[in-house]
Amino acid sequence: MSVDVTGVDRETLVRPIQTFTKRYLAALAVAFGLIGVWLFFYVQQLQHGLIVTNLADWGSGGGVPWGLYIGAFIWWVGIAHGGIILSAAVRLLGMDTYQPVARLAELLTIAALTCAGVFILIHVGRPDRLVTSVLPAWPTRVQWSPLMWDVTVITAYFVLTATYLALTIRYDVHRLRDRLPNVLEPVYRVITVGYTEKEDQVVERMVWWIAFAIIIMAPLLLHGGVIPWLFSLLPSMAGWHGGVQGPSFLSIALTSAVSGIIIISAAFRYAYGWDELIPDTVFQGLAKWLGFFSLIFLWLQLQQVITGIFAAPTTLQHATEVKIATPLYWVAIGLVALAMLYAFATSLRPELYDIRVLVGMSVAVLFGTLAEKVLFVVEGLQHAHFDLYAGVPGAYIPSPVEISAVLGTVGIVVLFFLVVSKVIPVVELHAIEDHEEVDA
Amino acid sequence: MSTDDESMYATPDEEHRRLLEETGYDADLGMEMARDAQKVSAGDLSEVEFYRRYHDRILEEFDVDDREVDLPDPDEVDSGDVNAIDRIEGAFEGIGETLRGVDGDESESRRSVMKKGAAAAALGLGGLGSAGATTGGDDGAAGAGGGDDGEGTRWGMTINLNNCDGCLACMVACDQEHNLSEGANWMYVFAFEDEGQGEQENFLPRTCQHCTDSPCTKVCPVGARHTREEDGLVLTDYDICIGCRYCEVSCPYGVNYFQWGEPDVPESEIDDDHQIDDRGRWVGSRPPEGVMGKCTFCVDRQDGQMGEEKVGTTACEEACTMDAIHFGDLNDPESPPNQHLEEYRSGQENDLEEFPNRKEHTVSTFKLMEERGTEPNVQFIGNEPSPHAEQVEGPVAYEDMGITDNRKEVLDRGADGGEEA
Amino acid sequence: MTPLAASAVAALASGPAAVPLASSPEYTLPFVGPGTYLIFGIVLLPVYAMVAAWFIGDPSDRFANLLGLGYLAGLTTVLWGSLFVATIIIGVVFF
Repeated sequence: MSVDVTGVDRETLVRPIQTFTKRYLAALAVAFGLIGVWLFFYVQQLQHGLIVTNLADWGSGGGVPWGLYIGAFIWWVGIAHGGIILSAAVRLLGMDTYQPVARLAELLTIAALTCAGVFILIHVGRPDRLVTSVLPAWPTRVQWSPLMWDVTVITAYFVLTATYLALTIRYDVHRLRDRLPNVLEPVYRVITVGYTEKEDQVVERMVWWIAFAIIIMAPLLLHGGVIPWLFSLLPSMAGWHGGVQGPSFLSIALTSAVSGIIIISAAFRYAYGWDELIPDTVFQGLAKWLGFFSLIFLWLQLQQVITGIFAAPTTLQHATEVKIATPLYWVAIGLVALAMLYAFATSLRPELYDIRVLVGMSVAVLFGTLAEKVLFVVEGLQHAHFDLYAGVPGAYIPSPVEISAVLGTVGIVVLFFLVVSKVIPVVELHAIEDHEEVDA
Repeated sequence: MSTDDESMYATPDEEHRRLLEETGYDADLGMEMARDAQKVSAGDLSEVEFYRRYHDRILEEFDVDDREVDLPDPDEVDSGDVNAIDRIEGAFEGIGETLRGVDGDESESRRSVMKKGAAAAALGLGGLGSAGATTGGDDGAAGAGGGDDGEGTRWGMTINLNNCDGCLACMVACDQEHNLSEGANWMYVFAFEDEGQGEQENFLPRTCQHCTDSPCTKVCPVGARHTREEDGLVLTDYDICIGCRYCEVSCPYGVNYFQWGEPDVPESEIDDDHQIDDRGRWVGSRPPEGVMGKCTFCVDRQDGQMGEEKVGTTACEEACTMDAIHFGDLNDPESPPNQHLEEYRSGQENDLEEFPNRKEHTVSTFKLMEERGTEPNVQFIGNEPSPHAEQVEGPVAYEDMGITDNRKEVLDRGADGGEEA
Repeated sequence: MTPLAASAVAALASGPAAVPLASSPEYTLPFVGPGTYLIFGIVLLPVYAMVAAWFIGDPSDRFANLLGLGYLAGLTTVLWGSLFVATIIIGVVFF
């Protein structure tokens, strides 16, 4: 199964750093454009307050106080799981097939977590207090507030992933230094501070342990833990309750994470002619993962629907009935189901595999998971246990301000990759050179 | 948490022994009982066994044993074993009072009774329900009508739905007193029809429930939403709140109103007396933009900043001409909420001659969604809305009173035509 | 004195009855809420294991280990520091 890409030379690896094309500039313009649109709207929000969104009070107000911002926050954290999936596959399980896209996935983690952070910032009414209120309160509030657990675990996740990258990048930068631009010399000097080839084995062991720590913390305790707990621990909303939320959130995270990796990897392969460096085998393998995670996603949705409609408490039953009566829910489910069917079909009949279709499916999955997450947040809020309010459920359609934030964060991810790929090799040297050579 | 491990139960220390000895009664007995009371509290010892174990010795020491082991009236006390201790404590107090010959001096606050230390063992037991109650509230006294539990002040309400006629005067008064933005109905009156009641309208005025075990204070990441220790008020510190709205989604009652845009009434028009409480924290009146607001039980009044005569009153209570809203200290048996409930009950006695097992009155009381475990400090007299209850238009339209029901309509007008309008 | 003593006994006595995971009025005291056990006892366990393994296992290198720790501490500081700067700017310009 594993395809040997060790024949690829170092020139290919640093191709993104050494080229500068019009297409790159165009991509840069698109990224800045997306960010610009969002900033335009966000400045309005800062000037006038969250009234410029379509959020409102639940209760007599008949609105939803949490909406697209929170849904997108969860979605980005979910996409961030790509990094650990691939790193774990490579470092912990020895699945070297995925080595060529491991660092791209790790970078995606950093970028996606940044976007999640951006959504926290723009979600709150007083972003100026985000640090001055949160940090002093941490020692006492982390005991209680699930939001504080969340902040803690996401910080840890970000820091561990960044440390992982910072440690592994030293090897590559040191060896590829002669092919890297001199203008960035100070950056490289900082990155490789104190580097000696003796540390390679030590660092290899250290990052194994980082991968180990993240693989337990991020999927199980972050997306299968503190994020679903943000909702399922509350006494107020029927649609949010239940232990199934942990596994369910995790399945959505993994599904969207694999989709994210497929899109990013395919983009780099396309842009830099990396057909040899990132061979079809990688994508066919990722397609199987996508199919498998989608299957679990759908299975957990089935769990929720069937327990919610058979003989559930009235409020949960109501919430579930409304959920399955919502067309957008079935669009989300349909898109994921379609991707699953395609993924499994390509394993049965390899001739059906086409990377363009796979990327299209991945985009569809990301749309579906975003829709599902926003629906989860919004519909959960519209079916409170206390259902005397005539105004509840109300209606919620994200405002342009809110939608622009999703575009803006996509822009941030694009910009991040455009910049980072000019500075460091986004594919590990290990991918093209044998480990024996590495460890020697 | 239940276990047989003796070490789990704290042994009262020498300090407490000394206190017990000062009472002149059997300190050993007090110490032993305090210890076993913890077991009852933890569910490791049945009340009946607790009663049996000490009955003879109590008789010997006090000549009476009027501890009660009867299961309480479910309307009187919450289920949950914490109340076992409350009842034991009550019994101890009873012993002390019997011995002292202090007969039902009801104006005497519980704290002063305790200070007399008639049965100091009761001290040890008395606090069980309110252990470490930084909230100032006493979870043991959460049951409707519990009027003599807990220490200090615990502000709360008894709202008699049978008296409410849906005039919305309370909403208007609240709106004006706290300078609320349009649609931020800290006090909100439901008119609703319920199953099997035909066209008959019921009303339910809804404030913040100022829960003793409030989800909103638990989930707040920055401690802005907090329970004030001195009197159990659940307040928002406008200086700290980051506006994440987690309190709002965690509240089962939907009492929170975020300040989505510029408030209708600018800061310059509001006195500090309304806004800054006796601890110097900004918790009163409407919130500034970007932070959360909700009913404060008129914290400015309770702190005496509106004059001594306003302490123990709220704007909505004052505006209510139907005698529906009764605000006061739930820990004080003489307070309006407790007094009203007692009077109302005594006016609706049950036929105990024919049906001796019935409770003494026919009055139905409830707390909103008590099963959520929030321990609200607002109790209602009347019928609880069923899951099939539906909100309907009341006799008085919100618009006619110059208030807005659905805030979404206001917010949809946006920043320009919205909150200033 | 007496009420103090009473609440002290009360606090002692309430120990077994209060299940901090479910509900407790003692939430302002440190180390009582579920987060204490969850975050420090469970969630961060893998991180403790990781750091311990760095120093205890073999091959190990003092410089690399300290570099790793430096990254952990430094990146946390950079993350919150840059957020702090961003919030200050937002605060000055818009609030």
